[in-house]
Amino acid sequence: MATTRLERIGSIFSRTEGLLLRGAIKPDDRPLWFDVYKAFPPAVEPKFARPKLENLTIKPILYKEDLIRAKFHAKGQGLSVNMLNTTGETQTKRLIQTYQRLQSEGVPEEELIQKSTEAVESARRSPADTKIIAKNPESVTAKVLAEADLKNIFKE
Amino acid sequence: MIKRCIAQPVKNAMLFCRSNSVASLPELSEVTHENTKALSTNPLDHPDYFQVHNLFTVKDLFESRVHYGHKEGSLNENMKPYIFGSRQGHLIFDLDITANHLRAALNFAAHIAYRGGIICFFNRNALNAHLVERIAQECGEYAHTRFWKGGIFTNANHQFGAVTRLPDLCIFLNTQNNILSQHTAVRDSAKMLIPTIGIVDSNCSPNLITYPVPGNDDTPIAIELYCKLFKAAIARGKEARMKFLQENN
Repeated sequence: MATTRLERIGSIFSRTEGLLLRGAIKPDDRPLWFDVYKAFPPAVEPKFARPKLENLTIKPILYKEDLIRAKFHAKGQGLSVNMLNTTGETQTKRLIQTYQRLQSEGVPEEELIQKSTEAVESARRSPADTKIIAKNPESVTAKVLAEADLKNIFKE
Repeated sequence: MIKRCIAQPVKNAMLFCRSNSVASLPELSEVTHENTKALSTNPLDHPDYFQVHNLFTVKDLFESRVHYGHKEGSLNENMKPYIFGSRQGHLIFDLDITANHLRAALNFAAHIAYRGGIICFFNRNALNAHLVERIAQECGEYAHTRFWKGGIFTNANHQFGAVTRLPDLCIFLNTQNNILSQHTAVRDSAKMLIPTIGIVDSNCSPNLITYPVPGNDDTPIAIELYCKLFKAAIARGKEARMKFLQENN
């Protein structure tokens, strides 16, 4: 096509439109996407040169329970997440929920961390909780994981 | 796999002549018979003719980990409007914005498929290369997931020794060659007036991409979701095309 290859000037639409308006290409030879683009233009025109976005700042994402989370993390609790297991809640979330529950029950501040850790640990002991529920039970990984006895993995 | 679209030059040249004229498409037919039926059958009049908005929800995006960006230090200045915030130094995308952009991109892909355009998928991440090639094959379209030899677009007629039809839409599932440089095909598509859809992570530049979709471009599960969505959108476009051709022959 008789187009300029300077991709930094204008956008693909403005360059094609220019060719059409000046008769460099016939309306029948317009690219297949031209009408679609015209009907559904993108939110921002895809120009190479754009003004700088200096006044936009990235805000930090913080939650109220981060204060509790930090207390657990300082003790080395709830640091790991099993991303294979998408069902159920993470250990940190359970710890925070137990903490808040115990706090509302009136447990003194200095015992809260230890007591909630113990409560979550004892709940985790039950085998149903540690069992990984596979998304695709037919896959090889799921079969291997189903057979594996993770607790006694180093025993003969 | 791109060779498949380029290896049959003579056939493609004829295809090019035939498909490049959009005169037979419904848009122009509405001028000839001015009735309400012709107007309602023009897909471009409908804001979402292929119903791509119901392909996914924001929760699906979240579960596929689309919201994870790179660390703050590698942020591209132009990606700032799409960022929700920074969690402990890791950027998080605003999935509401991503959903809008993804729907616009899916709609565009479906319309291109409806008009019989050639679509080419790109990906330079070896981890996801096989998945992308398989999906492209299932769509009946093309993929290029290997080293990009310069000039495949810009010098195609010389490289392939014949008149070559280039794709009508390029879908980039990641827009970087590696962490440092942008895929040359992004620039070359812009040069050759080929529209592009691209998944842009927080370290990529969205400027030359026609329909950028801000989101995670590394995690296999996220790529799987994008592939599934584009496959569904293209299938809907092709299905409508087949229906239209059957009714009008």
